[in-house]
Amino acid sequence: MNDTALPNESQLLKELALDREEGFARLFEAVRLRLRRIAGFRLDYRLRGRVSESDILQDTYVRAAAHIDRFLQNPEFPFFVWLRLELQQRLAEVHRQHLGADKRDVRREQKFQNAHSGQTSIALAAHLVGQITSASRLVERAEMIQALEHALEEINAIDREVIALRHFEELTNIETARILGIEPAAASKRYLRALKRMREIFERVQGEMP
Amino acid sequence: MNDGPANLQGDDELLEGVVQHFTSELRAGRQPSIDAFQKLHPRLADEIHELLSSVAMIESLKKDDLSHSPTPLKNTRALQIDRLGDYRIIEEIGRGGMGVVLLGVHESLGRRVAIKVMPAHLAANEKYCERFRREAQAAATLHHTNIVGVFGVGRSDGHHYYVMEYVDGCGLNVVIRGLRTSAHSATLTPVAPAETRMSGRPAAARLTRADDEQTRISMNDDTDVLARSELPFDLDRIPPIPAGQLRFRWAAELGAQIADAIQYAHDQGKMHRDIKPANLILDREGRVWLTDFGLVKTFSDDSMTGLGEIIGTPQYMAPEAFSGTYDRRSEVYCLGLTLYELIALQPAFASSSTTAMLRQVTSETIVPLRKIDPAISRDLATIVEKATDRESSRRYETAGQLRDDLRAWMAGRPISARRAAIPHRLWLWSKRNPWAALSAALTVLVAITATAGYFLVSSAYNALTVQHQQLVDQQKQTRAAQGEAEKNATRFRDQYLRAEANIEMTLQMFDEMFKRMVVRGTGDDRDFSFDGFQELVGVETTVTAADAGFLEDMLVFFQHFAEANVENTELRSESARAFRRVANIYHLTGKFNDAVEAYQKSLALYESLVGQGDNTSDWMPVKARTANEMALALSRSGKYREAMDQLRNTLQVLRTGPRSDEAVIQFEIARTLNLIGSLLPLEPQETTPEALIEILPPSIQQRVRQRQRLIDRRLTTPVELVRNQKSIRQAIEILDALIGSQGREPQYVAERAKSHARLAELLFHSNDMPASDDARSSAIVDLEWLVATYPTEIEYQALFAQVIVLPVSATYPDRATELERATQLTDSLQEQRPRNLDFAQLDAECNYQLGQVYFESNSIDVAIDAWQRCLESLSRVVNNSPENGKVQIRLAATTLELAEMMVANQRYDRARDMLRSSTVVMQRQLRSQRNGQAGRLIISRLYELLAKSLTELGDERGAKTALRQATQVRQRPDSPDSRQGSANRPGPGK
Repeated sequence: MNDTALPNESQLLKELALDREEGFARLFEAVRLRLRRIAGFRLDYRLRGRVSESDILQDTYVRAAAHIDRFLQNPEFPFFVWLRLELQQRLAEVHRQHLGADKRDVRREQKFQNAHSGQTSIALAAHLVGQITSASRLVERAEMIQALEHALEEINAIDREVIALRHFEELTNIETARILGIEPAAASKRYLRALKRMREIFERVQGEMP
Repeated sequence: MNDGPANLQGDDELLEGVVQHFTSELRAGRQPSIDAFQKLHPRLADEIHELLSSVAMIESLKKDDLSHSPTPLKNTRALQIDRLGDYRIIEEIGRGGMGVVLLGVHESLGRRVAIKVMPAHLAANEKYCERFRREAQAAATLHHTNIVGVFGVGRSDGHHYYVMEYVDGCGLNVVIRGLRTSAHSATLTPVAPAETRMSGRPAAARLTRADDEQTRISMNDDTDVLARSELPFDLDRIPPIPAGQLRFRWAAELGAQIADAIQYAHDQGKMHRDIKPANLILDREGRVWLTDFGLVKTFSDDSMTGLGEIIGTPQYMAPEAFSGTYDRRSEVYCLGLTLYELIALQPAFASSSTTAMLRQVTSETIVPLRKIDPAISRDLATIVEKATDRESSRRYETAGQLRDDLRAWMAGRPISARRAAIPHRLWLWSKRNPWAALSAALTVLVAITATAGYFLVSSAYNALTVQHQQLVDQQKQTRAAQGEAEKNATRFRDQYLRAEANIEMTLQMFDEMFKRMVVRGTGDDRDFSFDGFQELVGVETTVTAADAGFLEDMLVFFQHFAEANVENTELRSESARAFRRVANIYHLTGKFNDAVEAYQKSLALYESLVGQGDNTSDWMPVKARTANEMALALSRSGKYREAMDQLRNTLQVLRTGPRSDEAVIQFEIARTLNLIGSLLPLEPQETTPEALIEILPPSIQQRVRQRQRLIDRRLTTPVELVRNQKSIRQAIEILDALIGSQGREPQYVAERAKSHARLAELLFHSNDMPASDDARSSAIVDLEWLVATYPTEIEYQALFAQVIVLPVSATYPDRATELERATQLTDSLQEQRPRNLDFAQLDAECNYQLGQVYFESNSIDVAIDAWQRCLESLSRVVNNSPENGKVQIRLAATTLELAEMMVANQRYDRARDMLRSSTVVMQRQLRSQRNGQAGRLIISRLYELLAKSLTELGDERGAKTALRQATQVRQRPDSPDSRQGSANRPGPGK
């Protein structure tokens, strides 16, 4: 779903400067699916049914549109990364509102990743389990998710986040690096390392499961 | 080969590129071969293989995920069918996993019918078709006003179909969603009065059709994959649904109708197997219809049914269904979930992926209804709770019972569900208290033990004991039968040991729970005991209402256990302990007479143990402790003399018993002496703060002052003070000797610190200030050592703070520094054990005294800071144990004291800031607690102070309002809000 390409950053900024509202709407539309994927991955499973991904996207749109001036004045992040941050803040609000998530961690956006890294492993575990079990083993799945969650906790939190960003959110290495606030080379290194660890864990957990 | 770091970096770049390439190929839907990439870079072949297979694995996992993202409508092409057999097709009215639903007309009868057409891919399978026919025929035998009738099955032009009664209405899933949307966006449109009268519902709201487009055929609704509507209908086709309390009655009525239908089907030996809102239709008359009877079974996967028929919609499946068990009570559960959703307007379980759902359904509890909406009647919530209990044995036996309870609730009659059974409440309690970390294990044990299962184990154990003995005898007597007997004996011994292990484990668990609650996570795994020290400091163990309830439940357990095992020698010590716990519970909940009685039973059992065998002295310490606890209970119930006799008796027994010179016994002697030293003819009572006395009416003032003098006089009664001092000095001597001979055992040191602290207090009341300060210093020396040597033992930190807050002479040096140290300790204690209310109280006390010290040294603002911290801590205690009246009064009095001080020292802005919020909070508390006149007087005075501050700050209008409030609060016994509150309480059938 990376297909819907955004224009390059400078052209994008030009487009936005030219027609703020129309341009933003168009650009947002171009990345809507990607954002939705992120929302789907990050939204706490307990909230599904109560909060829809569409609502989150809607709110993110409103929120980002309100902040667009600030972004244009000082585009310290690429457009998509910035939008993702807006989305994340909206998600944090929703989680806080509904689950009373740890306020201390959400207060500072830099800490957001950390606050959710546990959740990242839950989401990852759910997917892993979805894959390796046959339909007949329904009950064991819940246990497996737990086993996997546990195994995934072994991976360095940032590395785990890298996997989530690059595969489940389908971000590029550069974007990933920007979001985590590290150098692209370091992000890439972490990514390769995490891939290897993932394979080990996958094999081990698969071996453990009946 | 250059393997330098630069090259490694280059490798990483290369690998990153390979991975990216491979990933984009995968995402484009191609199937790139790992091999090819390996061949391109043979040097890195191994690594590439490792990385790419990981990528392939991760990417493949997302397939599941992709199904949730919006995809263009698949198979939207409507069935191009004009007729099926005798039926002329009018339109497609729905679509779902079970096929397409069409509206048809029976040509010759002119009757409208709904026709469900089997999906083509299933129709190709002859086995499914056969099952489809069989299920339809079975369903056709059901005739009930709330079940959609089945006319028959047919086959025409390769289509298999199923003809049903046509119900003009709307799927309950759609109804619920509509209600939810309108409730959220508050677009409930009131119905015109005429219509209201016609429908006979005073408060009604019509659903908007806003949601309709989305739900028309909701298969592709983004997040709602599992709850697909299979029979969508227009919301216009149903009568208006009432709002508020009436909606709950409406839901109950629907629930009763469905339950009746299910009961009827069960009587016919038929199960529905997929009860959920989407399979229920609400018609124009407001009647609800159950549809698709047994249909889900038709299409269940063979491989699954082979494994125990795991079929149905996971979101609405009973937990036991996942392990292949499905019976009538599972249907009760599903109905319960539907009822839940009707009431809460949100599903009990909601998740977008199957895996997350499974996790929820199989391992999570449902959010209690009243948490979602406190307006929901407790009884109705109880009914739903009982229907949806995870444990099928605790649900309603039959759907009929559920129906009867719903009807009883609607008619305002008592319901049968009532309070959940004790084990269940235990379980709930442990759920609510996460610090009881062992709750998971406990849950299982509770299920086995606290129910009938426990008694089985217990009585089996007793029976086995007998049998075991018989077999041993038999073995001795009959040589011929020896082999057989031995075999039997082994078998029985195994069972016997297992039973014993079960009982022991259970008992330990309960004991653990008890200790954790009472000792409040101090991490103290030593034997719990009362030693009266906390009371001395004025910080009592805070037992909350929830704790008390739990303790009472535990009481039942311990009592049964103790009584059932009195005869059993081996279990006698356990029984004695159980009785002691019973007594502890009574003690903690303030039922001292009951406590004494239980203590006596425990002591009698210990007595019989002491008299037995050669391990007599092993029982001595625990017996002595039990006896001492009983003495405390006696003293607290006002029987000072008996308490003293009891303590002296224990002392006598300990001193004259065998091996009385052993360290353990010596230690108990010291403890007993300490207790004797702390016992006073009157219970220590909190003195009423002067600030509070002053605002009381003169007549009451006089009485309070009289009592105050009495307390003061009591504390200076020299006979007791001198005798107690003597006793404590003896204890100190013993402890000194123990420490001399045994080394600095922490428990000895801690006990000695307590002794010194008690002595300091007694000397303080005898007005012997230098000696008091000396004793205090000794205590502090010991505590400094304990805290430094055992930095992780928070019990010692707490003890340290407790000792510091004991009263000191006016000349005591550097009191502020000491108190600052204490607040540091209490801060850290609170951080480590945020739930411990005792620590919060201790913190309040420290800060209060600190405030006083600063105030006396004229540092007004620092004093205010300290007092405000004190108030914060007290508020926390009040918020967490709202029934603790004593702390509430303390909070009120301290607030008042601080406010008076602020105003007297012209800190008007600070006074205003504090009073604005505290008056509101206290008024709310007054309302909920009915603290009566004293509370009203305090609040009234606070308003006066607020008015004064506002006047000084130039806010005349605010001041006037505050003054008016002051008069109002003083005059009106009940504020209007409290009356309103009780009117809002749901009272079914009133």
